[in-house]
Amino acid sequence: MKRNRLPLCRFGFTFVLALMLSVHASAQSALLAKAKEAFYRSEYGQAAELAEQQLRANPKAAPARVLLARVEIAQGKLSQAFTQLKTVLAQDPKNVDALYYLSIIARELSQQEYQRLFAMAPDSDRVHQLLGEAALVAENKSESETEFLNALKANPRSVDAATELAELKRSQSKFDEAIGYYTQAAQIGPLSYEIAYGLGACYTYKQDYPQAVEWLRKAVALDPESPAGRFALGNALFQGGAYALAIPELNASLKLEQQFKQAYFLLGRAYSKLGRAEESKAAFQKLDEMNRAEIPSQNKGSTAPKPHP
Amino acid sequence: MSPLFRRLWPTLLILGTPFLLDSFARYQDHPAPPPAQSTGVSTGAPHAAVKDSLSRPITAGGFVDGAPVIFTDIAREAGLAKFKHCSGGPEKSTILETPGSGLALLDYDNDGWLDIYLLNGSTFPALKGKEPAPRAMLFHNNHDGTFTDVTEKAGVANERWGFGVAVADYDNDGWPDIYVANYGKNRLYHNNHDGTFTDVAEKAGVALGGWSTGPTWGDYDRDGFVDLFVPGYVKFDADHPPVAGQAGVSMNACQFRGVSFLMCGPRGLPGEGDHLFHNNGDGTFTDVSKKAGVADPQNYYGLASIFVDVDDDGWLDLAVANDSVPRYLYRNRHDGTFEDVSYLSGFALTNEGLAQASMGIAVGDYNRDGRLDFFITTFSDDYKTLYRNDGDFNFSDVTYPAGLGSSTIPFLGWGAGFLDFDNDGLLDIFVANGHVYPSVDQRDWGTTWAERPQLFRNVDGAKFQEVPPATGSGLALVVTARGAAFGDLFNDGHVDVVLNNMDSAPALLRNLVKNGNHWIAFKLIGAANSPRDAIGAAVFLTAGRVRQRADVLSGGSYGSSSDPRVHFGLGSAFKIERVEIRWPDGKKEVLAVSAVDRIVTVVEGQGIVAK
Repeated sequence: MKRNRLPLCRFGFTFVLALMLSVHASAQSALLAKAKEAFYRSEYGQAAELAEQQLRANPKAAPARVLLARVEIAQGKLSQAFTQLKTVLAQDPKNVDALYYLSIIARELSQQEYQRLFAMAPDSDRVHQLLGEAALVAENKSESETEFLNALKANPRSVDAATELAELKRSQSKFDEAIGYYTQAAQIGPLSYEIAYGLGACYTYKQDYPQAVEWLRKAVALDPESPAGRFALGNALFQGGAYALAIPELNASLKLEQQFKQAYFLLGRAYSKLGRAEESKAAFQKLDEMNRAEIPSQNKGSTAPKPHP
Repeated sequence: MSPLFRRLWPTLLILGTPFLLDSFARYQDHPAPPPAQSTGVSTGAPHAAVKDSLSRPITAGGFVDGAPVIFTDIAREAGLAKFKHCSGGPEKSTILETPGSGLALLDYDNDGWLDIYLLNGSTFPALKGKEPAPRAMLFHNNHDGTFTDVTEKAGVANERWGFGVAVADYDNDGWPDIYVANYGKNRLYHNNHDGTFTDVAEKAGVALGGWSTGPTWGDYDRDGFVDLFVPGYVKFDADHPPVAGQAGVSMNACQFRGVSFLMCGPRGLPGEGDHLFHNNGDGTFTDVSKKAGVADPQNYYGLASIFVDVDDDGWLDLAVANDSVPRYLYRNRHDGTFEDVSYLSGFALTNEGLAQASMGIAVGDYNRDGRLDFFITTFSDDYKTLYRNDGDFNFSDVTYPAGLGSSTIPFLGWGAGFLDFDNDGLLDIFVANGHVYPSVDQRDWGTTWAERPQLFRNVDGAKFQEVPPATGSGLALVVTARGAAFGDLFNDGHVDVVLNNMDSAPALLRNLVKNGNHWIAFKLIGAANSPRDAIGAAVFLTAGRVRQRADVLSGGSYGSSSDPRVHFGLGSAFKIERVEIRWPDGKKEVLAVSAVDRIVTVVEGQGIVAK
């Protein structure tokens, strides 16, 4: 009888242990949920207390620590939050949430430092320039525009400020304004690749291909090793109907960057327009191969579903 | 660029679609292609959030007090709120739960008024028979602004995970039939002429069984019977959904903007093939996909399709919108086969050669040059693309010059259509929007789970302007729209819109425009050598010295079928100078139309037979 009871006891013990662990996990999960609810209600004190309570029970509970860091961010306690997130990342370097909130903290801390810088030299175009760049990193486009404008006002001959404003306007699809700033930058100082390229890109989007080609040729002359510059020139030539001239530029971009799928697409089209069917086919085949390589074969991954009623 | 900024550069996000051109320039220090090219669903690079004056993301804001009201949602008053869409769980943790369902506008009882068929999704427990499956619903038009649910009697509840629907009279008996594309077996609901339908998919040989999406009907071989094309999306096993890092599914197949989500795909998952079914004319079909050259050799992720005569040779070509990879465009060779002209035509990719996550297709002659153009809906962080048909299978991406670039970028578009909402004789564009990740609401990305639709007014045949979403109007409706269908539901000469919204009730956007512009609509009936419902017919109408074009089409949008009647806005013109119809069998017919502001029925070879 004793022999029989022992396995039963072991089973019972295991069952109870599993049950306790399950209850514990469930309680922890409920605690975290409560903490999150409090956080979303902006009750930061309570959210922090609940998160800390869970961390006392399990110091390695990453979700609780991340939540605590979020609470601290919301309360402006950036240094503390920074420490919490570093702790999480020390345990799990790929924790996406920790990395995400760490990037937010870094952004905020960087802003604070820039503000200190601004306090030291409020009228300096350089400071406005740096503030604008910081705002750009923080994805605050309106603030970055204001700062770049201030920089340009403080120093109307600032190539950096004019170029940044141009890039900003281009990113907003305000091509005419972008062209204005690029042109201003080009008139102030020596022509850079960025300015020439930016002007070429703007004119391409405006479908003014002769102008686009003119500027992109200058960009390529300034940086012949840029696959993007070569491609952009090839694209402008292609869109403008200069297929034969587009081909060497597109081939040059492919020489510099062999995985440039976009270039194969335009190259195939350009060859086709010129009646060079075999070369066109070869370019498209290459493109197809590259596309196919990105899709798992039918035998890999999931399978077709079973028929449903 | 300052030295400090150069140091910060690698941490920067690409700033905008105009920078797609120079995506390599921005990553010159990194030999790999831009990361946005290889993540699960997105094809565009991240964009900075666009917000309105109240700091709301523009996708769920930007409302304008006092702006003219174009549409108002009358779904509840019309009796459509009885329908509630359902697609898996609220977290949308698998790709099966995210695309959602389409709808169809059809006159199933031939009473001259459009009825509404709304597809439904399903749930994993329902797939396993553990709970009742959500039901599709057919709503009969009561001719008084209300609709009655007739699903039970009609027998079209589907009760499978529905994605796309296309309507056609496949047996030329004069009554519209319904094809439903599901995850699992598809349905072919044959119209019994008495308000009921019978599912004949298995018998007809069109049931398939994988994951089918937006189908289209068209008589590609001109034998007088409409054939059926059914795109396939992803190979998906409901018992073993893809999980990041497992079974060959890479981590970045489950990411958007560098953040991991539970939902993986479509990139990184095997694609489901496409199918072309030839109509044998005896109630059965033969799968001719491979022979015809449209079987999806690349295993792309098809979501929408449409038969359309791209080069006006009188033979229907085929366009397929694929998610996250190049689109297909097939040229009809007139011998039962198609040539893949996707790259050659420029339709596969943007001008710069970038693939987009294409969800829906709209077809229409927006610039009145007599050729059919395309508008494609895509993912957020990407523009929705307008392709101008330059003839001879050449397409130009004219999105930016047309003014459709930056304003469409934050939105994730699905159903779309060209419609003349103000009857001014120029085709406008309507886009139904909604995201695939509910949790985007918790990120400051400037896009939202529920989004407002967008309407773009055609200004002059070349440029479009977004119509301001008047506060409280149908354009200010923030919903998780998927399917969108367009048609004159009230026979009042104004094109209305119906939206099938994920996990919620549909929207019926009644067109309220009252500007005195004239209009005319045609219901076409084909003769012996054309499909009876005239799918593939093209109508060229001249009024006020302006020539317009409209075609009878099936499919497109996203998983949806619109009014089969062709509608023309005439502006102030009250006299029609000429109407020419090119029927599917190739015959041409010129009509004399004496009056406007009405719907007329035209029978091939007999002219106008009824008002």
